[in-house]
Amino acid sequence: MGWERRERGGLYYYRNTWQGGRPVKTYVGLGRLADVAARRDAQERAQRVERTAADREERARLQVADALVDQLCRETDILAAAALTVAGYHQHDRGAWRRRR
Amino acid sequence: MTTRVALPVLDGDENTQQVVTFIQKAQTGDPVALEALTRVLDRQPEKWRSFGDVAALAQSAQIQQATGDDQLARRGYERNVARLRAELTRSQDGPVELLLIERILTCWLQVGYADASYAQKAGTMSLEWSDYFLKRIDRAHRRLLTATKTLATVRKLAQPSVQINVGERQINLVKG
Repeated sequence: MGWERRERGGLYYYRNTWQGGRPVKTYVGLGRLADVAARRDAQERAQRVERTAADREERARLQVADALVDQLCRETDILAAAALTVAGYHQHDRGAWRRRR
Repeated sequence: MTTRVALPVLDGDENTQQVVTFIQKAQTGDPVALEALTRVLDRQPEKWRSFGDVAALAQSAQIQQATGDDQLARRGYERNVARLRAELTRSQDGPVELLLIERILTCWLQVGYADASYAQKAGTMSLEWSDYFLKRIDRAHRRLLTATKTLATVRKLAQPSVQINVGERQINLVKG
């Protein structure tokens, strides 16, 4: 997105977008109208950046919380396996628990 | 003459891996490993505490995710967890079963928050986020299912049967 100065004078505002996997440059205008559009675009860009940062932060928080659940599941799986082994069972091919002969 | 075999002392970070090794050996009929496993289950209250701490930490993290700074909501969650804990607990449960119940509660919290946060954001999130959330919900549901199944298996197989003698007759009540 940006302003372009032409040889004949004046600043022209263009908006760059992606359409169908290709960059498309669209002429918006010049003067006051272009100024308003540029400001709005900048605002939207800032909001997007903010949202991305917030999303990233949330994902990191979720990963920390989920890692604890994973750890608990792993450890309790081991304890359950220990309890079942002591009770005289063995696990067949990571499947059902069967009485040891 | 009997040979006494020194059993390894279980503490420190290698514990979990050592227990896994004992399980593998005990399942192939190694009596020393079986004895060591029995010791792990019977004589390591400090280890149980550390597992319990992980459960408490995991639950607290899930509740924090769901409630943020809202103390009232946090209290509501804690009450629901306590109610569910009471519903799941049986008088004959040992430390393994109690820990498995804590695991269920943790997974239940995770499923609840995963579902709620997706419902809250649905429609406004990007495709990538939506995919991430759906996979997270799926994983959380699977964990909850596995957790309940594990408790059911341990209760069914590992809890001792109860013997009651009524007069001359012996009645065996089997496994919970």
